[in-house]
Amino acid sequence: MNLKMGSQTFQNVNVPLLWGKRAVLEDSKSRVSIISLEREKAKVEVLGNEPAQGIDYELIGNGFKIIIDGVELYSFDPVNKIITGLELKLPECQISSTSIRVGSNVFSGNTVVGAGVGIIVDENGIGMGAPLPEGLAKLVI
Amino acid sequence: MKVIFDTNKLYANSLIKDRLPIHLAEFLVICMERGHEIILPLTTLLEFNNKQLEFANKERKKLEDTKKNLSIYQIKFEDFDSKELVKPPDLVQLINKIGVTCEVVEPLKEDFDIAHKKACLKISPLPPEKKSNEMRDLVIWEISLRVAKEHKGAILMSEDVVHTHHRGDIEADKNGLIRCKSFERALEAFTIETESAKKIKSILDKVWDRILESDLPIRKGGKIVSILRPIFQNTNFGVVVVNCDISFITGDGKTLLSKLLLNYYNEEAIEIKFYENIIEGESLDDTSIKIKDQFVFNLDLDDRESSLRELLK
Repeated sequence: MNLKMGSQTFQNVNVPLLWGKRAVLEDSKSRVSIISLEREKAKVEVLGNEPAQGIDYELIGNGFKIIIDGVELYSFDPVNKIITGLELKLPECQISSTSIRVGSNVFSGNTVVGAGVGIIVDENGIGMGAPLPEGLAKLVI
Repeated sequence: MKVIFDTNKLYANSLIKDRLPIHLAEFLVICMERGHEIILPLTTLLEFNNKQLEFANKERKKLEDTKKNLSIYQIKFEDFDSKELVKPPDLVQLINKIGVTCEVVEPLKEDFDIAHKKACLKISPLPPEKKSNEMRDLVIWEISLRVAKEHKGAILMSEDVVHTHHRGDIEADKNGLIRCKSFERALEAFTIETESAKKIKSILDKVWDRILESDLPIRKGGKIVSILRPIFQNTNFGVVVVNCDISFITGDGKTLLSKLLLNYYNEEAIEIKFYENIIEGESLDDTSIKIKDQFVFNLDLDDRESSLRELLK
């Protein structure tokens, strides 16, 4: 996949931003989609800034909480494009026109070529240009 | 939201010293955490202070009696002033100490005038069987209506029959006043303030007449009092489905508990179903209200979907 997102250039990467076991993508109209890769098949949870069809959610002041199997996993603020972990204990992630912020780390103007994952975020830390972790669903819908 | 207290919800059966009763303090902590503010009608504060002064005087008398007894038996002790030792509490200070904002609201002449008229004419909210014309309750009622109107909604914490009788339903509803007899009920009423609840309520408000016309036992003056556990789900064609628990006061002094299944599109209800309805412990049949046909098409959904597919090519 080739994609420009948050001022980063991702060339020939499988997943530009992997937040836990969720791929985060931004389309040409700057709308964010979040796709869960934690089960056998990829499942879209947020489609172009809005909850995807068939996904449980609850409205909150600045967006919505995604609820999977009755558990409030994370919230998404479509105006500021902020993903915040609730039950998922992951650093907050924000995609702006000039950067991708993960927790207090800001990525700006980087290029990642030929990697499984462009930016990887998990409970242990953050990395750039990592191989695709095992056991994830293929990013196809 | 403003939370107004009648004296009976501040009741303590002894002198309050440096802290409020635990059930009240816990409720105030929740109010503080959720940004609600406390209103004490001056009427409430005066009555509370008077009751606490009675308790303080009893404590003082015990100390004075002890002093006398010690003197009779010529037992030496350091002299003390019981009035200085035992002081009634400063309620506003105790509430503020918890971290919640507290304001004392004095009755206006208008409040007195309306209360006076209602007392003389024995009109709503006074229940017909009430023997004494409680001016005090009516003044708190008028202050509560005024505060609710000014702030587009408020909660009145009271167990008093004047404040809770269904004869006050229409007036309370008109001004956005929610009456709560218990702290548990108030916590439920706070749910009406969440984004999800506001959305559901605004959609139901638009078709409120249809709900009143339905088989549900809600009449004029009835209103939604709580919306719990809301779950939204987007479907194809842009229709949103919501499930939640909902409760109403029915306009004739009863509470109706239901589960709600609401389909809406563009903030307009398409179909509403109330099921597992319970009123006064009795189950009622499900009620479905079809508002309009739901065949609509959401081009935006197509656009978002094709943009994502384009990325994943």
